[in-house]
Amino acid sequence: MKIALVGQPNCGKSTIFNAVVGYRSLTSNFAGTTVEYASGQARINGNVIDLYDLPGLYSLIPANPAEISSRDFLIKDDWDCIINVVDASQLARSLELSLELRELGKPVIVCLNMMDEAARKGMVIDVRRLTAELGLPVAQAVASRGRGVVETLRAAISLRQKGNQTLPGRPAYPEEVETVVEDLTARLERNASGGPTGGADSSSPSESRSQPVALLPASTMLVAERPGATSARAEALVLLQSDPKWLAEIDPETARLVREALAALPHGRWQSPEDVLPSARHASCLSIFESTVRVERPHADWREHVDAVIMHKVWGYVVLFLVFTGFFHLIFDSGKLAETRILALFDRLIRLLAVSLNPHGLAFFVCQGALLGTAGAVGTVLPYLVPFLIGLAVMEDLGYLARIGYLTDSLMHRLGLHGTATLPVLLGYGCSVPAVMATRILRSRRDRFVASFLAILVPCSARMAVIMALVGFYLGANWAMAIYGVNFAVVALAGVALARLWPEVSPGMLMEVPSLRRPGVRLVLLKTWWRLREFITVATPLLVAGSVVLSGMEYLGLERSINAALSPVTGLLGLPSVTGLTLIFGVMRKELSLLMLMQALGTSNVAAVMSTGQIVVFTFFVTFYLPCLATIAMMLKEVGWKLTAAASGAMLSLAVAISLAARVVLHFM
Amino acid sequence: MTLYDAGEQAVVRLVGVSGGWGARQHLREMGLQVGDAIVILRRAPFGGPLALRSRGAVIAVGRELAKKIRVEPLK
Repeated sequence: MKIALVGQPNCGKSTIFNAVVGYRSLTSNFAGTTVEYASGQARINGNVIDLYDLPGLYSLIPANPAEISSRDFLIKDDWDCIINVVDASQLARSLELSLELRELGKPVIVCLNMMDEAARKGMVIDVRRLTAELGLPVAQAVASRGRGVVETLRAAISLRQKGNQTLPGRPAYPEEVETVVEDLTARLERNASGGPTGGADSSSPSESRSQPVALLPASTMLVAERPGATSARAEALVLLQSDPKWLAEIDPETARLVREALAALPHGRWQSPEDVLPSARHASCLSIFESTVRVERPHADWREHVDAVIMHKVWGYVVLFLVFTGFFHLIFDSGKLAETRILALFDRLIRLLAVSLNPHGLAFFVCQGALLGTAGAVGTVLPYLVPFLIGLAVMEDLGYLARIGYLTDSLMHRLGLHGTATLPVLLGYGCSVPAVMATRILRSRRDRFVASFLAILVPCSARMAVIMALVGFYLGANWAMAIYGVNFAVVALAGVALARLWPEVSPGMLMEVPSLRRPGVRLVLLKTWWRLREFITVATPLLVAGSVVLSGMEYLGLERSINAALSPVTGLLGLPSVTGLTLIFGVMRKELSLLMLMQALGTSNVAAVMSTGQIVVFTFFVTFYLPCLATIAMMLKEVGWKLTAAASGAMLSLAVAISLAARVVLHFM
Repeated sequence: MTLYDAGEQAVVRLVGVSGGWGARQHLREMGLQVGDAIVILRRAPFGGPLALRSRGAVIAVGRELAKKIRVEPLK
């Protein structure tokens, strides 16, 4: 049995999912972050169910890519039942989606989650009345404490087994609107059955007209994708609410019918016809809310007082500064502590190895390579990555990330972005891959590109490892800070330049600021693990293998020809020619360049072989020169190959320019 | 007057949005539609966004968007 969890962002879908299925999903407090769906099996009362956690969506009318994927999924799959998870404390707004889901013609059950928070707000919900008004069964839950979760699933299963008994419920639209919708539905059906049959090849335009339903552009295809899967009524509803611009792109006959229907919709003087249905739904939700909810005095709430400080125009920034400083101190201090210990351990192991094996034999080279690779993953990256991810998950679940967005919006405006983009750019300090992934919450392709470009310019934890372990370790913390300072200036300048070259057209920030919540230990750890898993399972074997390959090349004496081929670059930057090969490995994973450097120089004491200037130039170059393979792959997916190539080219030129400048400046110092 | 002109703690009613379908749709998703009552909670400095409350939800609205939202004072 396939059951889908559908709901608006921050309604607690993922919490329900995790409570039932376990470790395979992540939850999020930042509007729209749950971009990938998770699925898993569970056994409830002897029934095996496949549970799907879909990305949060506010309405069925698509507006951004993250929502399009969940809509397609919602429509395309044969759900046995949809559980519409609703944040009970946001009931008025959430019901609009419930009314839309009701129209899909599939079994739907409403799960009122966060009943505790609604109670705190003084809301008394008459559930029996709500059931009658919606015409849908209603369950109650406090998923964060595991209450009502299994009961909801049981209700969903029994709803499915009994068949879809639709109660009448309050109509979403007034009669005169309903008449127009029904008329259009009938016409669309007639239009569909009247056309020639069997036009299955939708790739040719003439054929596509014979499809039974109108074809919206691919991104907005809601019901068109699988004709017959959903009713003509659902199709009619979508068409009547879509952007009128889209009508130019669909089958002209359907477009004509829709235009006629739009003209027939009773709309006010200042109202556009396509706004009629949403505003009617809005109004009936308000009536449902008013007839089912009694609002009493809210309980005294610490959240208001905390928000008054952390969103304050002065104190908010003080807190933000303290949080950032504390956060980065935590990462660097704890990271460095662990790094030195772990690396010392591996150093001992390698020395032991040199004694027990022939230091000129192949076996030694292979073992040394494998050990150095493992040391890089466990000793250099994890000590910084783990605390970063835990801290990030805490801030996310607490709701602080949304507040950061609010506070930094005006700053980001100067970089041609808005506050919503702070999250992806900040994520860039952890790993570029999730950062680029997170740009999906932005609405325009332009914003997604600008944010991902800035996010990959920011030194990720792997590059942080290079900066810390090379510059910080050998030259001192001040030098490392200077590198970060230069990087920050470059990011800011790049943002300003991009804002000039490609001006902002997006309407600016609009996001929900979720109420502050205590982060759950289990969810924070799940989320950390989920993000860490990619690094451990994909990057670690790559690191070890790369390290072994380099060791093998060294054994065979192959690295010389590669270094010779790259000598123009290394020569220009004044670096030892043995660093050529390390730059190639750095494209695989950035931290590899550090390990390979030690490997290529034949020592873990870099300062003995490279001058201060060379270390700084090398670090600058590695920080900027190209995003790693995984990031390139992710960018290809998000912004297309042209923009990815442009970003990579821009970074390479930036790297050469900055490294050269550093070389010149340091030469005269 | 626009939402941007409304001061902190003001209570206003949304009367119109002078933007395209995309802007109206985005506002709708956040539960903001013509006729809704809005309380302006606070404004971020340096021309930053406004935090407002509508139907129990707190929403941050950037200044450019706020200038496109027409409101009238309530009470």
